[in-house]
Amino acid sequence: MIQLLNGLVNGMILALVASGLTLIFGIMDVVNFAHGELYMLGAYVGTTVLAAGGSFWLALGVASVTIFCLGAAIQLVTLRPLLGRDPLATILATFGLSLVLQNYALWQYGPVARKIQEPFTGHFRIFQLEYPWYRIIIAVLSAAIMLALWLFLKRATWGIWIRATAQDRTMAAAMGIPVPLVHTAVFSLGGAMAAASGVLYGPLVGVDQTLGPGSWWSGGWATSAARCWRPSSSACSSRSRRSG
Amino acid sequence: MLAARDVHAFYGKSHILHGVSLEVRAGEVVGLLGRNGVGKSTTLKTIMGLVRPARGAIVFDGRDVTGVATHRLARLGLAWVPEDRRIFPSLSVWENLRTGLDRAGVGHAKRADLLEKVFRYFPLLAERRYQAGRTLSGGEQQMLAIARAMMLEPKIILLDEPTEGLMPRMVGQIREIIETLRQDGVAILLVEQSVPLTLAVSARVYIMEKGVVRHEAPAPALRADDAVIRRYLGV
Ligand SMILES: Nc1ncnc2c1ncn2[C@@H]1O[C@H](COP(=O)(O)OP(=O)(O)OP(=O)(O)O)[C@@H](O)[C@H]1O
Ligand SMILES: [Mg+2]
Repeated sequence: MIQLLNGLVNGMILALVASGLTLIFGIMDVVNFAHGELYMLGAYVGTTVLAAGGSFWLALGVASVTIFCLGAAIQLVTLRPLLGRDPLATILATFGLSLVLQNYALWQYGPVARKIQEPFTGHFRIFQLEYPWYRIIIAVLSAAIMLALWLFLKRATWGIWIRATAQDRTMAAAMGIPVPLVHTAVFSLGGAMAAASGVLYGPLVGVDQTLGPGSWWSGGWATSAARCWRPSSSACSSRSRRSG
Repeated sequence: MLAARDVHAFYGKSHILHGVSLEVRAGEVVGLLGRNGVGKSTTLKTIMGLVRPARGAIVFDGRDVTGVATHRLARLGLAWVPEDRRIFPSLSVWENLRTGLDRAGVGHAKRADLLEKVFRYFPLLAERRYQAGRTLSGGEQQMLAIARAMMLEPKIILLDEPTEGLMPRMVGQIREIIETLRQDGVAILLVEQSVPLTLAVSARVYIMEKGVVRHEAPAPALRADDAVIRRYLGV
């Protein structure tokens, strides 16, 4: 039973991280290898706010906004110039970025893990066992953030712009949608979601510079999935040829 | 109002447009005829900023807009209805319209006005409001493509083969729409395979051959004497 609850909580966090990643991949065709690092940096920004005496919720907000802005800067500098190029170029760019951010975190925050104090320390009893409220809160909050994202994509003008851009970039531009700006916003939004999950998950795992690379495999998964969604690309066809 | 001046364009290494020059005045319907593959669609794409001209200029409203980003051109009053319609497949009819409607300077009154107008022209779209774009028939998609362009309140619509693959009754409807748009003062640059339709709705006609405009004539002159049409289009 506890296993089930833990699985649910971890799954929610993972879903939150992954929805940021798929948002970026789906709209921009960019596999963001630095996504894990944005998650980690979000958690670090959270620890900074807490160290300065801010509350957990302030840390969550500040981390999201900071990484949103950092995401915008990163997109403008590294990815926008590569728009329309070979996907390999963007993969290399985000891969390089992930190394840079990882080393920056090591240099700025040092190798010692930091702790984010959970905002609720209470427990409740379930099947004769104590279970922390905070884990339940994480799951609910992650679900709420994803629901908000869904509503945003469904209803808001920007949501429609994002979906239209994902479906047909050229036609979106012809309808007056500022496609380059949509790309920047999507990258930032994905980053902000990663940062939020970093802070939310921080109390459970502690924060050090391997937090990002720990979830790094999800980037690897996205890439292999990406290869196989595009039957024309060589990676997938060579694999199927070998097996065939 | 809109002019292309000696426009050259390439797809990779292949030279497609070899100096296209044409002009559309405010509120005017102008036809662009030519055999398959002579570069009619490429001309429209180049005007819309989707293909970058290697040489020459596009002038819109007295301003050189060569190299201006497509989304800015759309805001300036250029709309494009591509030959393959390019409806956003998983957006609903209503959301497809919103891609052009949700922009600065469209208040409640104007919004209602624009919607009332397209739903009056295309009552079918009102019925199918919440249906996904991909589930519409070819004719309905064409209507939506035109309606969507109208949401931008364009000064000119670049209309690429609107009757392609439509049954005769629909063709008549498209013709009515073109005439209504003209009465509303919207200019149209019309690329069409159907010569009779083009001659019926246009004031002037350009004929293209291998990447250049070979001939220009008022539509009535071509209606009276089809020797030119036969020479360039072989019909
Ligand atoms: N994306 C592209 N890449 C390479 N060549 C292209 C591309 N699009 C069009 N062409 C080529 O450019 C030439 C002009 O094409 P365009 O679509 O402008 O012709 P068109 O006059 O519109 O023809 P149609 O009447 O068949 O629509 C054709 O030879 C075509 O093969
Ligand atoms: Mg064409």
